[in-house]
Amino acid sequence: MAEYETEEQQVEALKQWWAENGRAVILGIVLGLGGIFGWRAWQGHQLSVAEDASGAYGEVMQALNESDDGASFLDGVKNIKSEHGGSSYAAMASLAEARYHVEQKDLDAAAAALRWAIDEGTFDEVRPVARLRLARVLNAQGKPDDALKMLDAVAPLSYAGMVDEIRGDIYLAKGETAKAREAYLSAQQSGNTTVSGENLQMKIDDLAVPDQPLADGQS
Amino acid sequence: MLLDLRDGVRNSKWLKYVLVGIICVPFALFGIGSYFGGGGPDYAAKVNGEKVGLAEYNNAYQIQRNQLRQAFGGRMPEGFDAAGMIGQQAMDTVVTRELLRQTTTNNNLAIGDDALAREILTAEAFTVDGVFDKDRYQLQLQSQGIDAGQFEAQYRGDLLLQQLQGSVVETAFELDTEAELVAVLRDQQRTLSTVTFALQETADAIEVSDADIQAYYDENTANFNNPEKVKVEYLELKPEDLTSDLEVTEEQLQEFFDQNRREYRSAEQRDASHILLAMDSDAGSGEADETRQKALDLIARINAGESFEALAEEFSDDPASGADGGSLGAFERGVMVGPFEEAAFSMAEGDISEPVRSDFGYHIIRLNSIIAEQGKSFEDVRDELDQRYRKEQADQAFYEVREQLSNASYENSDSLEPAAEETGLEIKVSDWLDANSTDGIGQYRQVLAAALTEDVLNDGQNSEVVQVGEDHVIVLRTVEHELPKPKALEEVRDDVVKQLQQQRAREQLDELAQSTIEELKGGADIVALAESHGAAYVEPAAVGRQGGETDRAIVSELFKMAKPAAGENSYRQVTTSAGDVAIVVFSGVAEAAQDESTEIADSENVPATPSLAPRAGAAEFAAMVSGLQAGAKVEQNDFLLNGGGGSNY
Repeated sequence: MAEYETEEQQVEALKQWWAENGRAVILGIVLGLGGIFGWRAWQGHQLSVAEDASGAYGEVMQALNESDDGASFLDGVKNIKSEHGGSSYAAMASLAEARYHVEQKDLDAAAAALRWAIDEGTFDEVRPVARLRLARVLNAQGKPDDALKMLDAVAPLSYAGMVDEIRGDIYLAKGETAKAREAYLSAQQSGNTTVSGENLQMKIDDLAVPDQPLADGQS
Repeated sequence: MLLDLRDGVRNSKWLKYVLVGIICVPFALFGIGSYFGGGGPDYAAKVNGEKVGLAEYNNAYQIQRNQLRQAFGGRMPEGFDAAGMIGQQAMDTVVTRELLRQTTTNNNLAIGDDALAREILTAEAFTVDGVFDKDRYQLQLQSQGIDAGQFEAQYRGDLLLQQLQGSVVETAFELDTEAELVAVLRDQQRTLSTVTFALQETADAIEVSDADIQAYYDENTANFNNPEKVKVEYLELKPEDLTSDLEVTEEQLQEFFDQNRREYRSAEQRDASHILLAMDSDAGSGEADETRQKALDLIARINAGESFEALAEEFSDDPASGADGGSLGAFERGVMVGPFEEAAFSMAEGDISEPVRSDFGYHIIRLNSIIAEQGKSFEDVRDELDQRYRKEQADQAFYEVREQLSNASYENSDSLEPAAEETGLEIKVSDWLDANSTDGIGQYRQVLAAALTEDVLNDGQNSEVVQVGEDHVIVLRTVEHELPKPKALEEVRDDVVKQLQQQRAREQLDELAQSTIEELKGGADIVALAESHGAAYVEPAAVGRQGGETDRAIVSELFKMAKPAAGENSYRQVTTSAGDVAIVVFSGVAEAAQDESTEIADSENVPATPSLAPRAGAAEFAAMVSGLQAGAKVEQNDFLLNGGGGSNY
């Protein structure tokens, strides 16, 4: 930095610098502060939107679990999907909607709700769950091939036990017992199935193959 | 002087550098202590780059430890956690929690203030008779050592995780077809007939020669051993031994009472009367002002000398107390409505209150007397004290003596004498103990195991303190030892003959069953065939998985067999649970019973199949969690797990 002889010179230099750069500095400060406040306001807004969605979701779940008021439940779900369609709560509500329809024996509507969670929903972590459930519904609807295709899309390995188990159910429905047995055995290897180990063993045993010694200790 | 310094510095370049250099040192070294001071990183784990605090880990560790301790009935066995299992579990818990927390954040899950408030207001821990109790809330927070802000943040976090978990678990369902699939299998009946060859009958008929017996004995000597046995000398500690003769003096009890006086107190009470001018809790301000004015008038009349009792009888809207001159009797805190209590507990004896508004209306309160908090007298609680005191002394004595025992027997590991002297316990000597002992200290399997450890058996050292029951420990040394010793043939001849006969019989029957199965497959008549071999035949009948009276081994095998083609049978040979050899003949899945009249062999009441939904939901959520774990970048603080952390004990 240049050295200055007197204080007057320093002041003069400062004034000159300010004349040249003052506007830029003020603009910078304004932009910076504006950015910070704007960002915080935006975050605050985001949070309050999320909290609204959460509240609506809470009410919907309460309607599902504690009252028999199906109409208000479905209304609530519809509202969440239209007002907070991009929120994770919409996907969660859609899963709840599927359960409601399954309990009402309306498999078409259940399948549509699950499809919504998969295609329109933004909640990545629940998507494999929705696919598994949709595969089960498709199988129950008598669409085994669509169901198998749906299972192929369940990527995470941690779901392997359930995927194989449901494959077994699908093959069984198709009458392909050898494939069903193989799938069940594979599910047994992976563990973490939707039915208990005892029930899975029952399914496997029922498909026993003649003249093939059964491995002991499976039960 | 400062000016001189300023000029001096300004004019001397090197002085500037020296000063700057000196100032730099503390900055450069600041924080360096954490590199040398030990203690490892300042976090328990980093999960996808975000830190999980040590406090959270320690918390999880304590919870885990307490649960285990409870599972063991209050005390963890020594050396139980050598492998650091508790630490690892605590680590897994906090890491999983953090992963789930991140999932809620990434997906913009949130809990609003009103939802949070609603949950807290209805949480069972904070309510008294179903109503939120502020004092209770504060008390709970105090006991956890956190303030309301921290607690709410924690609670919000818990609710978020619940919401995430619920979104999978609570939305799980069971399809009718799936329920049916399981139900049909579970209720399946299979048509079964059996041919059973009795083992014992065959065995009894088998002749065995002396040579055979000798050979079998030689080959299987190990099966005819006397078990390994030991004699030990030992010191045994039970609290009963310590307290039966404990003398308790009045002075000791009195002192104990003084120490614990707080627990034997009753709270302060206030005796008050009131006049109630009733009003709806949602009354408008006009009505409220009017009622308040009435109350003020009454107060003026009382102050002017009119009788409170008389006015209460005339004006009070509380019929019960009004008839009694307004008297409410004595009460503690927590009995009356809030504002009333506040007023009553802030007045002096004989005071008349200002009008006090509660949900019931306006009260005029007169405080009749203050009954100070009161202790129960020593005599009131003497028996209880005596019991408590003895128990406490016994526990304390037990732990002290146990400690002495442990130290003395460890320090002088080649004799029990010093430990006996130190503790005043008597050295006892056991009978021969083996794996079948059922009395004395032999009934505790830990004793034999301790006596046979390397150090005790071969090196002649004292054992560790062996815990054989809650508050029951033993230290022992092995004084005599006998290895397993073969029994002489004469001694076991009968057993040998029996085993040999059975072995041969089983071989014979296995062969017979095999050939019988072949004949049956060839079309032989099963009834005639069974009769010709002296075997028991059971006619075809439908059998369920519960099996009814059919042998368990047979039923279990039956439901593992491949289904036969129509009109044919599947055969399999089974050893029954009684040891007999049976041929299982499976003739097909029985048609489901259409009505009650079709009586079937299996008549147990089968419970209804529980819904698959909760299990499915739990499995789905578990898969989601392990998916998160598999995809996460987790850096654990190994310093904690290797036992270096302050959290271990």
